[in-house]
Amino acid sequence: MQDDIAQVRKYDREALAALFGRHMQQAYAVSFQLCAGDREQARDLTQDALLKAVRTIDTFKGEAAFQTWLYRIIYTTFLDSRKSFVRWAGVFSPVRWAQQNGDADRDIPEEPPDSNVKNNPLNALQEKQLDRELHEALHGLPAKQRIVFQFKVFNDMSIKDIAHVLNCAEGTVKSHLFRATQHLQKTLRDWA
Amino acid sequence: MAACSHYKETLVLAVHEALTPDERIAWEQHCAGCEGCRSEQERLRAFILNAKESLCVPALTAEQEQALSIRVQRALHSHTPDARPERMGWVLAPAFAACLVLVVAGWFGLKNFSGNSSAISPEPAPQKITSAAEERPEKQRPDIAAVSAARVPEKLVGTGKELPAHPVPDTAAISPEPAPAEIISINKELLEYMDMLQEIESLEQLVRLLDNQQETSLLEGGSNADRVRAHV
Repeated sequence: MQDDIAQVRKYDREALAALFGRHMQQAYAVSFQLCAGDREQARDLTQDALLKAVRTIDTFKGEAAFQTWLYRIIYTTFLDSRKSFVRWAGVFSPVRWAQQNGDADRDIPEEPPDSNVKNNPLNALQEKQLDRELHEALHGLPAKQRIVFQFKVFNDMSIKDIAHVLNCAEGTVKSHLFRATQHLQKTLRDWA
Repeated sequence: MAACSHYKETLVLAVHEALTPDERIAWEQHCAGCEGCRSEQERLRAFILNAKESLCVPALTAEQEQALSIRVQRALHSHTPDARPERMGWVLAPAFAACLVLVVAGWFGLKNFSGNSSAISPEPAPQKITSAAEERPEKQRPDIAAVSAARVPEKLVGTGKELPAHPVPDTAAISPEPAPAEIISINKELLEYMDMLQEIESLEQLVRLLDNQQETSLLEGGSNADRVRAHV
């Protein structure tokens, strides 16, 4: 790993390609969760985070796994982009920003590709209905609870890694996870 | 059969495999004898699995992955330390030109303005305006010698027991050893430092609190200023 990092530090093309090949998909998956299902934003966030990670690779001390360190960078890059977005949105169009915040339709993602269960139209309809309701329920959660739930369920991250990425205690992560699950269970009682 | 109410959190964490080894053993022992918790655990596990399958994260295609990789590499190579002076030059040159244009325009603008103003008002301004300060009569100062003489009691005048003009206590006679004074001053300094440390600690706490609040507000996209104020 140390050799790889030394090569990456020199911006060696092969080392960079290997690094991106190993972590790109996972980085994109985390970005996708943070950007609430917006693929364009998720791609931009992945690009910015990878760029930042390579430039600041000297700060990687090996205390956590490289992947966890990268996720932390993605999270901080996401917070930075939100900060600048909020600032500029406030300067140029405070009214539109407020309207967008209240607009629930904005958060509905693009339709996921059809899977094999879609042969039956009734199943397909039910799946889409569940997708929509689950998405709405997820976005009804407070942001940290949503992110913790998404990281745990959809990205298979451990409690320790989530705590490291969000820079909080493991107990806090467990508390968020419990509350998020309870909320989803209540909201989607018909599906649970 | 419903799950035990005091095992709710443990149940959820067990489904997410987030229990510590001791907690897991205790939970398994409980589940062995509790039908309600067991069935609730199975139900919740199925629900989470269903949700996971339903909202799967789309993967990047090979082309997208490659395009992203190329974009990152291109950005990296365009920002290498060797390339920086050139880039700085490109940034600074237009800025310098703009400043030069502004200075020249400002210079000519001022010249024109002063020329126009002299044309508008050919009459010279009055040479001197007598200020109010000059017109004010000089304040009469009291004679210090006379005042001090007046303050000396009449009985003491001429006896040689008049008080000196500026009585200065003999500090050497009062405190022959300077050590206690030094100790007092050191104590005072220590106390000041301790006060400062306390202030710094409270400020650090405040900064931490503000950071946390800012992060939450960024994630939720709204303003939490009121909540911060309430905390403070």
